[in-house]
This record gives sequence, C-alpha cells and structure tokens, in this order.
Amino acid sequence: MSVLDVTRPDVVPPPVERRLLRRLWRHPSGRWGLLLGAALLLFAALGAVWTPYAPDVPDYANALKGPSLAHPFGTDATGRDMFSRVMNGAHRSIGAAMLVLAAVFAIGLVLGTLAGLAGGLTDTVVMRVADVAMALPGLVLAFAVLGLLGPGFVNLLVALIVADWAWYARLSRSLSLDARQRPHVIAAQMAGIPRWRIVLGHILPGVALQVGIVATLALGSMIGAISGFSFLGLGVQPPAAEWGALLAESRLFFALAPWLLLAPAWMIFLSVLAANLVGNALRDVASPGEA
Amino acid sequence: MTPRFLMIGRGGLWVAVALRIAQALLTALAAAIVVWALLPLAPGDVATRVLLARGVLEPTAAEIASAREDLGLNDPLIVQLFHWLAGVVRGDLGQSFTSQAPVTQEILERLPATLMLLGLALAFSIVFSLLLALIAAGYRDRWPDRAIRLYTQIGAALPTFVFALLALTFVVVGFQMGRVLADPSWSSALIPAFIIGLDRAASWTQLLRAGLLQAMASGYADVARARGASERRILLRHALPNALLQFLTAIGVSIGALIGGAPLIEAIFTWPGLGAYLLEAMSARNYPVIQGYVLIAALSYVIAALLIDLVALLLDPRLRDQRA
Amino acid sequence: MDPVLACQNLSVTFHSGATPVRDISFTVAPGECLALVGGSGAGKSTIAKALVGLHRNGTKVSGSLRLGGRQMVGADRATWRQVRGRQIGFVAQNPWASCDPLRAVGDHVAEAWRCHDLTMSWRGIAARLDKLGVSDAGRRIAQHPHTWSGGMLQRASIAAAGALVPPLLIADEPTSALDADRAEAVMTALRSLGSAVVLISHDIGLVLRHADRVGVLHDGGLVEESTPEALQSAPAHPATRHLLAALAPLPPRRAPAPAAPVLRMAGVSALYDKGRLPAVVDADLEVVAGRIVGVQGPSGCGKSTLLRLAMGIETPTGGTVWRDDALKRPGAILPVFQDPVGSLVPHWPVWRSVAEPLTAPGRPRASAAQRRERVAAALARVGLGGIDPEARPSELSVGQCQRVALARATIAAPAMIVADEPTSALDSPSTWRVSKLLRDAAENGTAVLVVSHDSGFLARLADDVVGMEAGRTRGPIRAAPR
Repeated sequence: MSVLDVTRPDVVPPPVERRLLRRLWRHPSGRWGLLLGAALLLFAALGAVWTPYAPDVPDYANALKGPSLAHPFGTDATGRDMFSRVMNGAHRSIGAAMLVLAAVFAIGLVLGTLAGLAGGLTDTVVMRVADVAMALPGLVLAFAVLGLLGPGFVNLLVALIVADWAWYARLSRSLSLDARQRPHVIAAQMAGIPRWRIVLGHILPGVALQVGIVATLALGSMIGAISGFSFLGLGVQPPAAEWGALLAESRLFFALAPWLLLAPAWMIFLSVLAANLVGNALRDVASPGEA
Repeated sequence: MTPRFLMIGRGGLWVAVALRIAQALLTALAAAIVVWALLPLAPGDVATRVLLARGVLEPTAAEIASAREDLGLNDPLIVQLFHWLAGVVRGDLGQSFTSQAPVTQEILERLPATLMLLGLALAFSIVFSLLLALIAAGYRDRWPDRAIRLYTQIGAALPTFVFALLALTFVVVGFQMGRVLADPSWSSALIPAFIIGLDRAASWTQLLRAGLLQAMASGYADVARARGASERRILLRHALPNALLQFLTAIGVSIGALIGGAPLIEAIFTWPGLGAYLLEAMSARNYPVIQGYVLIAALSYVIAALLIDLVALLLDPRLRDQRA
Repeated sequence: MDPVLACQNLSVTFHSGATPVRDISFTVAPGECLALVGGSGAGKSTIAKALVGLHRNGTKVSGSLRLGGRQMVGADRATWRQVRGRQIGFVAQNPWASCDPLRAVGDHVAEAWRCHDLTMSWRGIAARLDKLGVSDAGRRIAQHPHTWSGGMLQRASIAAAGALVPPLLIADEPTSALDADRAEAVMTALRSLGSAVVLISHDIGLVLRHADRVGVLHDGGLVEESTPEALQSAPAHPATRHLLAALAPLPPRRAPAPAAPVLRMAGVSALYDKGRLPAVVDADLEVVAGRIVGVQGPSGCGKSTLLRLAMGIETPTGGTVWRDDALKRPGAILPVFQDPVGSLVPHWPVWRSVAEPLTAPGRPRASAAQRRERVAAALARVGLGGIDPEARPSELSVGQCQRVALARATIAAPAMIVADEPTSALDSPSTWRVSKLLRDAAENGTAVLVVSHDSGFLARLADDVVGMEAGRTRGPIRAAPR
C-alpha cells in the first residue's frame, strides 16, 4: 500500500475557539474593554430610569458643593447633584453614538451591497450620491446639516448619520464586489444555489463582519463627536444632561468649582477607552488566518 | 506569476498627476453643489428670512415679492445654482444676513487666525508622532515603547476638545502659563497648537508605529538583515519610507477631522477664527455665512488631500505605474 | 577541509514552548550543496531563519551552530552583523517581497555592500547580474522591483546574496514562487557562484536534481541524510518514502470506456474590450465522460478564460459551445480552484461547504442527518475522515482545504469537474493526493477538464493534453489511446 494512501485519515487539527465573543474575552485588552464597556452600559441603562437625586431639579441651598459622601461629584451652580446628572446623561452620550453607528452600519451595508451586487444604474446612482456626500469632511458636513436643521439632539443624530453613511456604503460596496469574485461564491453558483441564498449565506456575513469592525473602531470618535457638538450647544439642549453639555455648563464655574469638569471628562475618557479596547481587540481576533 | 503592471514610460507621472487634479476639481464641484443646496433646502421662505435679518420685522407681501426678485429666487433652481457657482468663482459668497457685509470679506479677515492655529497644530502632531513612533519602534517592547504606548492609549481615548479643556483649565490657567484670551499671533497660537498636537499625535503615533513594525517584520527587512544591515539602518532607510506612505494617506483623512473640529477647538481657546464665526452664524441661522464656512472647509480639505496624494505619487513608483 | 557550516544538536524553541526544530546535526563542506527537504510543518523555514540568526527575541536557539569556525549560538547582534553578508548569504522565497518596493533593483543589490559601509559601482552591479543571465542589466537595474519578472528578480537577489563572496549561501525555497522552467535556470544561477549552498525546499524533484547531499526533515527532526542517488534507490525513513511517492507515477489508468463527448467547443473566441480578460481566439476543445483533458500553457495565455467559457460563466463572442443535456442541469459542472482556502466559505464549518451542492433546488430533499452522513462519507473518501467537520477553513492546511473542495466537487456526482491550477498552491504530497482524487473521479465516469502551467503535472494526470498559447489552442499534444 502506498504511503500516500488517500484514504488514510489526516491529523486532527487542535480545537480552536470559534466564537468571536470568547476569542474577544481571551484577548488581553479585549477582556478589559468588554468589562469596562459592560459596566458603562449598565450604568447608562440604570441612569436612564433611576438616579440618586432628580437630575434636573435645582436645589439652590446646595449650589456648587465640593465632592462629599452625599454628592460624590459635588453639585452644580443650581445645586443639582453632579453624580445624578452624569449618570442620567450616560444613556444620551453612549446610546446616541451607538444609535448613529448602528444606523450608518445598516444604511451603508444595505446600500453598499445592493450597489455592488446589483451593479448597473443602482450602482451608479448610489455611488454618485455617496461621492457627493464624501466631498465634504464628515464633521464639516455635520455642521452644514445642523446649520440647516438647527440645533437639537435629534437633528444632531440626523446630521451625523448624513455625514457618515457614505463611507460605510463605499466600504460595503468594495467588500461585496470583492466577495462576489471569490471562488466559494463561483462554486455555489455552479452548484445551482439561488442568488438570494448566495448573498445571504456567502457574501453578507463576511461583509457585515468587516464593516462591523470598522463601525466598532469608530465608536470612540463618535462618542467624542456627540459630546463635542453638545458642548457647543448644538446637540442636547438644557436642562437635559449629556456629558459634553455638562462640560460646557461646568466650564462656566471652573474657577469656583473645577472638580465639576472632572466627572464628565472621566466618563467620556472611560467610554472612548472601552470602545477603543473592544474595537482593536475585535480587529485582532477577527482577522482571517489568525485562528 | 509576473505582476501585470503596465509601464507607461516617462509620461506616466504627468498623466497620473493630471488625473488626480481633475478628480480634485470634480470633488470641489460636488462640495460646492452640496453647499449651494443648503439654501433652497433650508426650512422657511428665504426671502422672508433675509428681510427679517435686515430688520424688516413684519415684511409685507410686496416687500417679500420684490426681495424674491432681487435675490433671483424666481429663477429655476438650475439657474440659481449657476449664478451661485459663478459667484463662487468670482469670490462672491453673498452677503451676511446679519451684518450685510460680504461673506468673503468677513471670512478672509478670520481665515489667517484659523490657518495659523490649525497649521501649527498639524506641524506639532506630525513632529510628535514621527519622533514618538520612531522611538517606540526602535525600542520595541522596552520601557520607552511601553511609555509611548500608554500615552497613545490615553491620548486616543481623550477627544481633542476634552483634553484641550482639561489642559487649559488645570495646566495653562492653573499655573498662569500665558494669557488665554489672546490676539491671534504665532506666539499666542503656540500653547493651543501644542495641546492639540499632543492629543492628535496619540492616534497618529499608534498608526505609524504599527506601520513601522509591520515594515520591520516584512520580507525585505529580513533580507536586509540577512545582508548585515543594522536595525537602525533598516528602520530609517527601509521601514520609515514605506510606513510614511501609508501614514500620509491617514493624515489626509485626519486633516478633514482637524478642519471639522476647528469650531470646537476655537470655542475652547476662545480663538477668534472661522470656527467662532460659524458658531455665531449657526445660532442666527445666517445661511450665507454657514455656506461660506462649509465651502472654505471643503476646499481646504480637497487641497490638502490633493497635496498628500501628489506627494505619495512622487514617492511610490507602484502608484505611478498602476494608473495606466 | 574544514566545513563552512557545522550544526550540532541545533534546536529552536518558540516563546509559546513549541519546538519546531529539535536536535538537528549536519555539516556543509566548501562548495557543496546540501538540501534540506520536507513537507509543510517539517520545520524548514524555522531552520532557515535560525541559520541566518533572524529569529526574534523570545525564540531560543540552542545547541551548536559553527560558521567558519565561529560559534553563532548565543552570538550578539554585532557578531551576527559581521557574519551576515560576508560569511553567509541569504536568498528568500518570494523575490518581490525581498525587495524594498520603493527602491530600484540596483539599490536592492547595492545594499549588500552599503550596509557594510562598502561601495560598488552601478556598472559593477550590472556586470554581476549580467553574469547570472540578466539581459540588459545596465539599464534595467534602475527600474523598480514590481516591473521585473520573478525569475530575473530572484537572480538579482542571488547576486546580492553573493555580493561579498560568502563561502555559504542559505536559500529558503528560492524557486517556489516561480514557474517550473524558470526554477531550473534560477537554481543553475545559484550554483554558479561557487559558494556552498544550504537549499531548503519542499520540492523533492528539484532537490534530487540539484543537491550534492539531501537531508530529510520530518516533524522538526533530521530523519535521514544521504546522496540523491542513495536516497532515491533506498529510502530508509517513512517520511522519505512519503516525499518520494509524490514523484511516483499514479496507479496505472484503467483504459477509459469509449464514451460520447459531453462538451465540444469549436472555433470559440472571447474577445473582450478593455483587456478585461486574457482573450481566447478560435479555440477547439472536446471533453469526454470518464476522461481527463488537460490544457497546458503559460500564465496569461487565456486558459482560465477558456475554462470559464466551458463552465458557462462567460459567454463567447464567437464560435460554438455545445453541451450535452447532462451538462445543462444546474450543479452538473462543479469547479476546483487554484486558491483552496478561498474556495471554502470562511465563516462556515467545512461540512456546510461540502454539503452545499446537495441543497440546490431541484435535488432530492435530504434531511440534515442524511446530509451530514454523506458529508462524512465524502470527507472520508478524500482521506479527511479524521478532521472535525465543524472546523473552519482557516484551521486546515492548504492541502486539506483543496481536498475538502474536491469532496464538495464530487459529493453531488457532477457530470464534469473543471479544475483551474488545482495544485499550484500545494506541496508535492498534496499534489499527488489531489491528482489521485481527480483520477478517481474520472474512473467513476466524470468528465474532467484541468488547466495548468505545469506540463509535468498534466503529463502524469491527463489522458489528453491540449496546448495553449496567446489565446489559441494547439490540438492534442498528447493523447492516450481511446
């Protein structure tokens, strides 16, 4: 019998962790990012429904108090508890960033893969509109849209979505064009698998993963952008709490109560850090060939 | 197995340059159309808004009609677009609703301050990230690299405006370092630009360091090593030029973020530039000013991206040959 | 004479604790060529790196490695730098990846002198390249690497490796990125320098033709060392026999039963504008059930386009393609590709990729359990009964992926299998297995169409071989009796 007997079974490869979440957990910095992110999400979710003090009811007797046991982050100029305001603002800062990214991810993925796979007129129309949207730097376009719609939280979200979707559409398009040429897609075509099943089974999951990684990596700067616009008074309107808006309010009193700046700044820092850690780890563990 | 690039001879570079310039012009045109569209898309009647801004509190129908005629609002949109574009080419961006002064003039008054601040900040970020990335890659996994990585993690997690706000409040003002409210001059731009550069450089350092390490681990680096080249020689002569090319493209994208972030930065440093002008206009719904700002920002971005691509084209022989 | 290189119990331990190279001992005499040959995973590239000291901190090299009498295990960077280039030259696998893409080929060669603070004139470099068979070297060294062909660029790398006339060259798979005929010329250039050579390769055929002595690597150890003749006539170790078996002819072919053609292409042309595809001009081809037809030609000759025309995913601009009714139902033609990992869905377990042709509409419905059973049988048929069917393609070797792809191509009993360079990414034992599996498919009555640049591979595998050059077919070069 030949040593090359093709029926001889091969060596069994060592088991590899296939679930993305668990691989993320094993990544040295991914774990810390997941823990920090989960804690922040919990904090934000809780803050949306409950806070130790009412976040926007003034208490003039306790204005500009330093940090204490009753008010760990102190109180602001109208005596509102800073901890409660930071807690209540969390879901606006983090939630809005996630919402915008989820929206541009979905819009970009659908339009981009549609353009890439349908080709022809659909492709031309979608991509020319995207080209026009990308002629302006994202933040500048967001300013333009906000100038058009006027300040406001919802308007800010719309502006950021308008400013960002085209990048995701272009990425999805080029990824799906690339995927369409892959041998496994041609093999499925030849086997007579219907088109919709090839798109859903072969093409979309891979494209969605890549675009999802890009969106996760963008989460940090999106949190920064939302708090930045709110800092300028173009996003969340008072008295609603949001971290960027809190920074703007606190800034007026920094000579008297500099600690007021620290709490929202820390929260922004921690959430961007968590997003960066998870995003970078995701990019590391999801890159093909590094199983 | 031969890569199928076409050599296009000496003319190749110029063809590629011409194509890239044509692309930049198209992008500029697309940006101008977006900017123009702001006005017809704006909610409410434009003529009424202009009259209100001019102080006509309760304009009559006749006044509105004559204003419409004056502003050319009765023309078809495409004609309005061409009028506007022709104006842009002549340098006419219309009149500010509030001050009645030509927008172009107001922008030109404020532009130098912004360019000064952003240019200096850009220079600081490039110098910082080059130095830090080279040190980190040269001392990989030793304490200088660890320290630099800690800095980049922190810097990347602090949005520029948050870092600027904290640095300004707790360091500059706290330690009485220089005046905050300053006239725009190179010396007063120094501290703000340094602060912005320090924060921006964090993510750029991450990027360049990764590019350098990737190049240091590449096949050509190993071959150079096997010929007897020192690590320093490989880093500076082979890894740096290759990593810089990638880095240039990233800087191009970041310049857009820097331009877009200008209003925020200027608000924090109370810098009397274009950003502050835009914020004023946004609260007053002063559309011509908003349009002017967005157009200038877009054009600066187009020019910056064009310059960067042209430099890349000069440096990378593969790009030149591919464009055939 | 003293050996130029003497290894004694050389081992390499990675940071992870893995020891890909264990207790290897050999010597190399001046001017001789010692080949170290082995399949994938035998530790070849780890040894190559250890011999030039290219392992990073964290990887431990132990034992003894004497270069011209100097002990290099534990040597510091400065010592290594003195030795490299002067005592030992290095030729890497991929010539393009070996060159800094931003610098001219001449700079790449000149680097060998410059990094030792020596200078060499442009003309001197051109003369060295000229000696190695690079024509018009004086002009071409000013060009950039990406405009050079692999064979020529590899000669430039050899010139750079031999720049300071080191007594020893280490060549790590120097020809695996090249077509077969260019590989021979590059090997001749490598030997022409007169230095001793340690040739590291997976290609047993190449090694037997060019080396003075051959060492066989298996699982990190040197299991056998001998002359090429002795090795070929009396292999001692199973790993050696395994490697040599790849050179063995396939089992004798049962004479295919006479059968009607299933595909006939007559005067077919595919001329697309914009040069989107290499064109096909006036091509003739006939494929018969139960026979293997090979199309042989250099890269860019249009043979892949011909294959796509046969598959029906490109439409010809002229001529006729006649298909038998058996080929008209969906799933009747199944492909095998050059890139084995890419032919499987990356995010699916391999069983799903294999089972996919069974799930096409119009096929008899099979329950999930039945499908899994048939997948298990198909995987066992290609010798992969032992792998976890839940494994992702990235967890398998390239050769294993190609066999999974063959399991998929055969599971639904297609009327024709078309294969585009099915073995060019594989080492010789895997090539042999894939050839055998294609042969099995033909014996079972499937028509097989294979295109390849490798004439030796097609000569062993195919019943008929059609040549192709610049888009035109040249009638059967070789045909087995019907």
